[in-house]
Amino acid sequence: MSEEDAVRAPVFRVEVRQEDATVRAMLYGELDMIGTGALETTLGGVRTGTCVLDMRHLTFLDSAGIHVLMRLDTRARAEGWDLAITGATGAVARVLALCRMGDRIPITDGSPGTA
Amino acid sequence: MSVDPALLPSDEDERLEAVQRYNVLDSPPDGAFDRVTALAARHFDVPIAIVTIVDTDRIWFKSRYGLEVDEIGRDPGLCASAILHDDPWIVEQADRDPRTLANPLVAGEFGLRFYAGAPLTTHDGHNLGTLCVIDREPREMSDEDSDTLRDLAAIVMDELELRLAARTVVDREQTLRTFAERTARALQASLLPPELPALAAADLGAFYEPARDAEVAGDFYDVFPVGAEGFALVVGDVSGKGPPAAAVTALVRHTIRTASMTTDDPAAVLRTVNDAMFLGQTEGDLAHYCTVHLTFVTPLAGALVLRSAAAGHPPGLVLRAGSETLQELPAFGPPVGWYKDPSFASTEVTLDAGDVLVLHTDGLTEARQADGSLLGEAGIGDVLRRCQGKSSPAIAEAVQAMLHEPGVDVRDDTAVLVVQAR
Repeated sequence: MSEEDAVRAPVFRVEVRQEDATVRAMLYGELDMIGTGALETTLGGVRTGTCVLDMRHLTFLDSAGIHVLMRLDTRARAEGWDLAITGATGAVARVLALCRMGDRIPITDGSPGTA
Repeated sequence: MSVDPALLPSDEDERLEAVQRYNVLDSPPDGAFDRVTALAARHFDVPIAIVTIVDTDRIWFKSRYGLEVDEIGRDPGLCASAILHDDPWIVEQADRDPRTLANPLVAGEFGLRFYAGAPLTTHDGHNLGTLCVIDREPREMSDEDSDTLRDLAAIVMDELELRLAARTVVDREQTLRTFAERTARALQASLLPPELPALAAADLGAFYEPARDAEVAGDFYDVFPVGAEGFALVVGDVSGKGPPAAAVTALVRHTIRTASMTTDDPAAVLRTVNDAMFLGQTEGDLAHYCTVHLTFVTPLAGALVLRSAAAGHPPGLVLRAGSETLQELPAFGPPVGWYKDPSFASTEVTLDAGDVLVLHTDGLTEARQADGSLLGEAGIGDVLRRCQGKSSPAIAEAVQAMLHEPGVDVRDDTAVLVVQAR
C-alpha cells in the first residue's frame, strides 16, 4: 500500500449474496455520504424476504450512513420485507446504539451463521 | 504585436467580443471538433486540417489534424485573410498566387502550397475563425468541394453554438443556486442565537461553522432560559442540505423552546418534537430527520445539575477539573422524524466548579486530520486537557482553531457549545 493510499479513507463497498430467501449485503470500509448512494442502489431491487446488512467489515458509520439505514427501514416496512443488521462492532456498534437502531431494526452479533 | 490593418475585418471589435462570448480560446481538446478535422483531412485527402479561432494577435487552433503547433501569429496566418470573406477562401497554388507568394508559410520552410478555409460565422454574422484544409502540394478545389468545406464549417459552428447555449444554462443555474444558498445561509444564521446569554451561574462558549462546500447544511445550537434560574442547551443536526433542511431546523428549534415551557424532562420535549414533525404526516413521508442533544441546566449551590436527553446525537463530553479522563454522557434515542412514538430517556449529572461540558455535532468528531484519521473524542479530549482553567469562550475558540490546522478536512457543519459552572 502506498503512502497515499494509507492516508486515504477506505472506500465503501457492498457485496450482495443471495442465501435462500435472504439477501446478505456485506458492507466494507466507511459508510458516509459517499457510500450511501451505492448501498441504496444495490439494495434497490429487494422486495421480499429478509435483507441482512453484515457490518463486520464496516469501520465507520456517520450520520449520513444512519440516514440511509433509516430510509431502508422505512422502505422495508412499506414494502413488507425484513431488514436486519449483524456483525457491527466498535465505533459502528456505538453509533447504532446511540440511535437505538435496535428498537427498529433487529441487530444480532457478528458470529458467522447468525442472523 | 500589431496586425496589418488590411487584415482587420470591418467588424473587428464586435468580432472579438463574439470570440470572447463563445469562450473557446485555450479550451481543452474536444472530440467533436477533432472528428470534423479528421473527416475533412480524409475527405479532401490533405495532410492537415484545422479549426482555428482568430484572436487579437494570434490564430489559435481549437482542433488540429496533422500539425503539432497550438497557435501561430495572426499576421502570417492565412486564416486572418480567410475571415475577411463570407465564402470559402481558396488558394490552389500558393507559391504562384499574388495573394500568398510572399507569405512566410509559403516562401519559408513550411512550404504551404494549398489552402482552403471556410469561415466559422456566428448567427449574427461575425467570423470567429475557420475550418481550413492545407497541403504542401498544389491542389484544385471544385465548387462541390467548396460547398462540402462550407457544410463542415457549419457543423463546427453548430457545435460552438451548442456549447455556448449549454454554458449559458449552466451559468443561469449557478446564479440561481448561489441565490438559494445565500438564502439558506441567512435562514441558518437566523436560527443561531445572535449572542450567548450572560448567565450568573454558568460560563458559556459556542461556535458554529458551516461546511466548506457551498451548500448549507443543518447544524444549529440554542441557549435559552428555563424557569427562574435554569437554562437549556441545545445542539442539533438536521439531515440534508439547503432551504428544506433549514426549514426543519426552524421547526425543531422552535418546538424545543415551546415544549420546554411546560416540562422539565428533556426526554418529554424530544417526544413532543417528534410528534410535531409527524403532525399530518405518516412514517416515510419525512425527507429529513434531526439528531438533537437537549440539556436542562439548573444551578444548585455553586454546581450545575444537568438533565439530558438525546435523539441519535453524539454524547456530551465532560472533563472533570484536574482529571485526565474524558467522560461521556451517554444519552440514547432515535433521531427525531424517523418513526412515531419513539422512546427517549433522560440522564442526570452534576458539573462542579471547573468541570467542562462540551456538546457538539458529528462534524467535529468526524473531521479528518492530515494523516486521514478522525479527530474523534480523543481530539476533543486533547484540547480540553490543554485548556484546563480557561474560560468557556477560550475553550470554544481552541476547539475551533483545531479545525483550521493545516491538513484538517472538515466535511460537515460543526456546532459546539461549551459550559462550565462559574
